[in-house]
Amino acid sequence: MTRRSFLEILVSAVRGAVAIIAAVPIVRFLAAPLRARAGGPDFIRLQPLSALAPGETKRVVVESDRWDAFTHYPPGPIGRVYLIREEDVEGMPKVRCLQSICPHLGCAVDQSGGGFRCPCHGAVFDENGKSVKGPAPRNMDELELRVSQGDDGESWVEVQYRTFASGTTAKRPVA
Amino acid sequence: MSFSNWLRDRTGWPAEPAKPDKTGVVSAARSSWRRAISSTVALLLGLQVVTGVALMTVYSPSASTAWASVWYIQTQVPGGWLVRGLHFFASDALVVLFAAYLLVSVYTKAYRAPREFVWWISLCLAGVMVALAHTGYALPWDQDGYWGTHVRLNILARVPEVGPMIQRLLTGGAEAGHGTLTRFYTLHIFLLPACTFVLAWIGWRCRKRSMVSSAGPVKLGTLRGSQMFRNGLLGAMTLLALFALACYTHHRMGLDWLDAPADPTGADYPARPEWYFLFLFQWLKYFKGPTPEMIGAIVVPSAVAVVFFLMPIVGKKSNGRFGSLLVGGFTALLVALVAGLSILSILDDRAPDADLVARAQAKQKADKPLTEDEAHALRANLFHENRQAARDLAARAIALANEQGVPPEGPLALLARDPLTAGPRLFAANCASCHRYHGHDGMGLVPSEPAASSDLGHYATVTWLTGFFADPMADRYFGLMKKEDGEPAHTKMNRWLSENRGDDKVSATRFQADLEAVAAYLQDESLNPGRLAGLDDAVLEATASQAVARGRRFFMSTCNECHSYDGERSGTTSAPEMRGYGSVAWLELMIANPANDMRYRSKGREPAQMPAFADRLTADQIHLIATWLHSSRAISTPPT
Repeated sequence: MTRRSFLEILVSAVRGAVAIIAAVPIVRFLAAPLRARAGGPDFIRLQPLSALAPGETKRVVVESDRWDAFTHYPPGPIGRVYLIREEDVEGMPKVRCLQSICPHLGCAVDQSGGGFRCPCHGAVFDENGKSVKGPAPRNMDELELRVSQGDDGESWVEVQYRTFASGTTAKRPVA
Repeated sequence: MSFSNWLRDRTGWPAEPAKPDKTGVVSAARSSWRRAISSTVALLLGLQVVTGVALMTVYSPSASTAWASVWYIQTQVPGGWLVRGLHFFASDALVVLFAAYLLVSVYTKAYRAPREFVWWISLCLAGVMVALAHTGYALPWDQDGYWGTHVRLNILARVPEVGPMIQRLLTGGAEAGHGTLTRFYTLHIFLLPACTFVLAWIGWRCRKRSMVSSAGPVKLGTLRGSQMFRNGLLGAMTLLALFALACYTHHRMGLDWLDAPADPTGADYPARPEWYFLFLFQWLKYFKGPTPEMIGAIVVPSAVAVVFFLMPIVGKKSNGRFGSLLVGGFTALLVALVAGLSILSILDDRAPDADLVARAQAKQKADKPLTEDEAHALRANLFHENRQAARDLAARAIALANEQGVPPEGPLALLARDPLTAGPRLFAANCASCHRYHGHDGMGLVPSEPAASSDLGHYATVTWLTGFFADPMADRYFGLMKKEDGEPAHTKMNRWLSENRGDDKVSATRFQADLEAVAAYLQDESLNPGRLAGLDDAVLEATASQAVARGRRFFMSTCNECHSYDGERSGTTSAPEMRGYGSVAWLELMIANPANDMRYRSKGREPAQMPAFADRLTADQIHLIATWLHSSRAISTPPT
């Protein structure tokens, strides 16, 4: 090995090392979106239970503050859900909540007839959100719901609002 | 030395003038339309760079400012509509030209040796063009761009193994927002143009090497006259078409250049891909379920792309006619399929026959099964309704921006603060469980559960009030209002009218005329609260029309017995305060606290049944509903 070739190898090695050292933070920077957020969303208060009659299905706008990268938006609409209240069972209210985003390709599902319909590709769901016809890979996604007592004694419907990946048979939350 | 010599010595430019070509060969390359197309493509790419850079000086790539900056470019910046129009239609033109180039190349067998690399580079460039178009569509961050992006990223996520990762990287997180826009912007203005440049450069070098003629290697700078003519003609026609389309869209079609601001809460948006991908949209309708869709959206198009890449090998000269027939036949089949599917897609979205829709809706309401035609008619009808609603919203957003500009929170805040837009939504979400608005919930839907209160369409206008005085217990007024025990909730007005209507014809006619006058007066009160308060008769006659003055006098002499005015009434029975009745402020208190003493009270035999919305809605929301109810009315011109 000559001195020249030794120097050439040394310089290449240093250059390579610098490139790797510089590349690591850049790759981490670009891959940041792949990291999942920790923790689940809070329960969001929707409306009083009395505003929903037994046997009624209603589309409700969910309002909350939200983050979009660096912007913190004040409380505003973040999505829509369907609240389904069945007949009371032994005096206890029976309420469910369905996400209005179609599990097929993410369009907004409308109410149609007694059930639901997605206008984009014709997915049809029954009154419980079960897929009966069309391209939806699974039923409409159900959201965690609870009825809590307010300070004034009024019962409020609260929902853990989340979105789920479209186009999959498995119900996977997007986080 | 001379200036030009000094310049040439230091920089190499200007180059030595070429020695005259003694062989007399201009270019042995045969003049062709294929080369005219690639020349026009180069022209358009240059146009895109120039218009693109111009747009970049004004466009702002953030979720809260993108829409506003595009509105600004289209309406405020001189010539902005033209620059953007050229940029937009040039992107369509590039896709068309690339498709034409590939088809002409198949027809003239230009994929064969020695031009294989030129062919492959062209295929890659066509892909890059589509990527450029798709990233560009997202940039205005309007409904069309947002939902199209959303759907495309979902389709990308179907790629096995890496799909969801690619989707997430391009989205910039879990949900589309700032991160998506900035990434698409980076791709659109830098990474993809860089790919284009690199691919074009490689293609150019391969092309140069592949150009041989009987007279030896051809100098590329010398074009035949006929080739120059073809290049010029196609280029000029294309540019003319772009200008024409930009002008047409701007002047005639008005608002089709910008949709409503992107609303991630799924505002029933009827998403469709751009026209040259309608065939894919139709194609995917036949693949239902995640695995079939992966096949339809990813596997089949990839297979088609692979076949195109293999054409130089399948169709090579040594395979003779069989090879080229296979290639040509496959391409012809593909063209027919694309054309056929596109036509089917357009036909499928056509407005359905109104009678068929009515029949289908009736059948659906009765829970009877629908035929294919009826189901399709309902789908198409819904699509058209949603499309019309989307157009109306876009028009409204642009009108608001024209009036007020866009607030710092972004264009969605503009719509959220607009009574005409937010009012109906709030009404549908909060009031329509009991009330109706012209028979529906404010948003055009008829709720499934029955109404339990009045119809507030044209509330406190002459029309509404006249109908009310004629029959207050009709369903559209007080008829549906019931107390908890099932008894009618508000009967006092009806009783008073029955008692005072008069037995003989003369008094009945006069009473009727008095009521009409009161209706005119109350409508005036809703528009001008307190305008006629405290005026003596002479001034009253001079200030108001005859009917309104008569109505005011009748009100103060008769109605004021129960209905207070400025807090005072002449009798003992309580009825709602009438100062400013039907005005925004009056409605706001009614919504916030109907049991207020100035409204229907919480005491007595007929207390207010409506809940107090001050607990459930903010003051802003109540204001929006009240303003909408007040200002969306058809005011009758009072008789003089």
